[in-house]
Amino acid sequence: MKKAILVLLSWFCLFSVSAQVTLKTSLRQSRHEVVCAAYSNDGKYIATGGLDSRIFLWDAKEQKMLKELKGMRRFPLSICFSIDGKYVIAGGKDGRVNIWETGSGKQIASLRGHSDDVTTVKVSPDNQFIASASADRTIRIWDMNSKEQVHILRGHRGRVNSIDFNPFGNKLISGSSDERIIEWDVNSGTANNSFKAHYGWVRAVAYGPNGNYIASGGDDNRIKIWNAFNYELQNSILAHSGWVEALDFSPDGKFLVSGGHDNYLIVIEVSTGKIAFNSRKQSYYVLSVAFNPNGQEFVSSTLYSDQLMVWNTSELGIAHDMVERTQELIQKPKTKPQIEWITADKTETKSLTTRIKYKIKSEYPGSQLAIYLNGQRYESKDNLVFPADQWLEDESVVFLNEGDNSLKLELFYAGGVVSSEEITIRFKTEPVVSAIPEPVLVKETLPEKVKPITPEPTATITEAKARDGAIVSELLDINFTNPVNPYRFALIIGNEDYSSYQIGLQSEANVDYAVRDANVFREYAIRVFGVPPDNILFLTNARAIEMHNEIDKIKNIIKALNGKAEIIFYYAGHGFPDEQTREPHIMPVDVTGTNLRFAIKINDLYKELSAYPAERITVFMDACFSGGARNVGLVSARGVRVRPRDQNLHGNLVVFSASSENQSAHPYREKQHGMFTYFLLDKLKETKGDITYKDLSDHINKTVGVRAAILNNTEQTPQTNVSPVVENKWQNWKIR
Amino acid sequence: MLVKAQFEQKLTFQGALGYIHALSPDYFVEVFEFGGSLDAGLQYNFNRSTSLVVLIKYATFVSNDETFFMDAYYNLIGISLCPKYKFIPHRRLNPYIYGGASLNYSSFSFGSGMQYYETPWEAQFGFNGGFGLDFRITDNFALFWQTGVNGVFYPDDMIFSRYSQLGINISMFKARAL
Repeated sequence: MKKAILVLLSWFCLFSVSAQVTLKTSLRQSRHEVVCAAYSNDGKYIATGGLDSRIFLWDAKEQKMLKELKGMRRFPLSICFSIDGKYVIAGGKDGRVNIWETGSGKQIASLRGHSDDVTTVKVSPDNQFIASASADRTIRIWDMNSKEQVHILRGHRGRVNSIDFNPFGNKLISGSSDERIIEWDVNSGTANNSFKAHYGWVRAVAYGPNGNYIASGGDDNRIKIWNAFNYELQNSILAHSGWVEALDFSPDGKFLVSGGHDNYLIVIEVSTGKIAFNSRKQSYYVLSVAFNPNGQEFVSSTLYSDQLMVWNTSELGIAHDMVERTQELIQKPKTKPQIEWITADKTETKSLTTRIKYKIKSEYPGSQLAIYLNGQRYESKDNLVFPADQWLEDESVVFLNEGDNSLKLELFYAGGVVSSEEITIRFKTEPVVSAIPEPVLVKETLPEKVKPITPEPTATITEAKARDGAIVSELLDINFTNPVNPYRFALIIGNEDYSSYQIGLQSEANVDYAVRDANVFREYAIRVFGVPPDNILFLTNARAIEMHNEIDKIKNIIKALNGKAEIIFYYAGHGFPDEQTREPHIMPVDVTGTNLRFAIKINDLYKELSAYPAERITVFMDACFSGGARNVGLVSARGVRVRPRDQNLHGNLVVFSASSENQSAHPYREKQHGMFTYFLLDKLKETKGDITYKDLSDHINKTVGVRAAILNNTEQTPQTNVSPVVENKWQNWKIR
Repeated sequence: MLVKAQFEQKLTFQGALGYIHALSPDYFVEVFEFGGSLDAGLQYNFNRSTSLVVLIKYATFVSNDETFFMDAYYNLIGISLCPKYKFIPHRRLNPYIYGGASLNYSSFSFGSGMQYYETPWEAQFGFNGGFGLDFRITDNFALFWQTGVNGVFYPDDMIFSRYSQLGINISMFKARAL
């Protein structure tokens, strides 16, 4: 019954879609049930292939059929144009690569070689090669002019479902039923890399227009975004409830349109994973999607439908200047990028953390910079934007080991990789407590609903922030800064906006003020806890992959510091219990309450934090794990609160939680904060951090309990849990 | 349509319950006019239109002959192999026809009070066929109504009966490609 209600809710939400993409028209030819469709590179023509084994050429602007291209023996599965638009190429159930002249409509070649269905055909961006993928597990590269076979790419252990060239034409990716993606070197015909991409078939793969991302869709219903240089997973989006059959990037690379066996078309913002548009339910499985290279529209076809849908994307906010710039950069002949250090070699420092500076000059759009510390990859930077004919100066903060530290930079670009010289930085002595830093203003853009609440700000930081449009909270009215402790690190996460990342969630399911809480807590981490700003890992509206990455990072920091680290973990957002195991989880914004596979188990989190010795680990958890929330829970239909299972604490760990057992953690609307966070920080402000954990715990428990009863007419009793290792000493620990 | 596969579910389990009505011969109809039938089947779907069904049918006719104060039963268990063709497979309401040969075991029993007699169970060939209407609720679940004729060949006669059933289809193992 619960599932039925959820399905109904999801349907309701799917039907009340945004209007950024609208159905413009449909192209229809009798009995031509469209399987595949493609635009010509100039956007003027569309070619379609159907279950009737016919190929049609259409005028994209006039939306009329121009001619039929005859000669397919059985129905096509994939179709494309040559880059110059002179040829239409289709492959399908006849196992051949069929080529027609666009102008005359005459079939000029039918290339044999594959022993099974041809699933995809693509033309390289330099118009030199045709690539065909097949159910016979191979990919064949054909010379466009001679029509001779140049390479056979073998490596997949299953049907190859999809391929795509990178924008520079030197690499090709393929997705297969063996669940893997392989990246191939087009010139040599050898595999560069192979990695497991999905649980189940990989049905669709595509390069982003500047070559820095790969998108894939598969039978685990997920769309995954991969870094094209190191194949790291950037995002994993569960937007479909059926196999993801087709996807295509918008020409500016900002959006990705996908179609699936759930009969929906979905447009996703690539950088955030947010769902920008979801269509009404189509008549059947969506088989193909293709963006017009002009970015104004895309087409989609569905099984058993003789209509090719044309969708208007002019309101989607596609950056047309970026389309032109990317095209220009791709076509322009390029020189090899250069990378140089600004930071001098053999620098000595007494600080545990140091800023390194470097400069890069590159004509390639979309590159990745990797920083290596002592031979190990320390940090990666994506999406670097290089100014034309100028050096880009940039910097990073690295955390040094005692003694000599070797540093090296590598820039991955579509043509390969360039490396800097190796430099050495010596961390000479024991770290000293550095000078008190200047107060740091919180610059995050606020949700519109957050308004200044201090009517007459005094001449303090509060006033400065109000003028600056940054966060205004009476909690920020602090006029002290405690000394910095270089061994203190903080991971701060504020997850507020769940509805933008999940189909079927209304805005009521968001956690009001969580981002604001996290921002203000960051200020307290610096000013009260004495965490150096560079030692703070800060996430707002964090997706699963980001949260897992940052938890890994903090774990590595604890390991590197060999027992000296003092960790502060703050989380405001949804918590959720597994209904069967009652295991409590914290919830990334892209994880639904009905599928906790990618949520973070609280016990796993505590295990990770205490995997290596640390001086102390303090967790502030402004979330509840009963299925309730500040507003409404992640699963609206939940009628019964679940009493979460007890948590196992290890190491020097103390956990301050916002609520107990099956209670909810409530907001303090008047103050625009979470109730727990507000009274926690208020006490820290009042005492300037000169308070023991025991006193802090007693104060929060009492104050929040009373206030929740008065303001929300409900019970909310914070609780403090400690690991058995510290149960006799935590009471006397102090915040500062 | 020359399409071999259309992401159809490859296997379908079906179960149906209905009534059965004797058609001939006349002496049989006089004694056994109505009965009940229970079907269970396993269907392999070559594509969305064409399937092969292995169907097990159990039918029982009951008679209460007031003249001789006797109860009589005709019991039939048959297994049939039936090709099935659906006419508009992508629609929610989908008419179909089916038909094939069957192998049957049948027995008569009759008696009154404490004494009952049963003829030995014997094998006979026969046929089973008819038409129906699927109502697809999801890709995995459908309801159907079907009606058909069942024939059992005896050495000296043939028993024909007509049946009508309501049932459910549970489908799985979706074809992975077009």
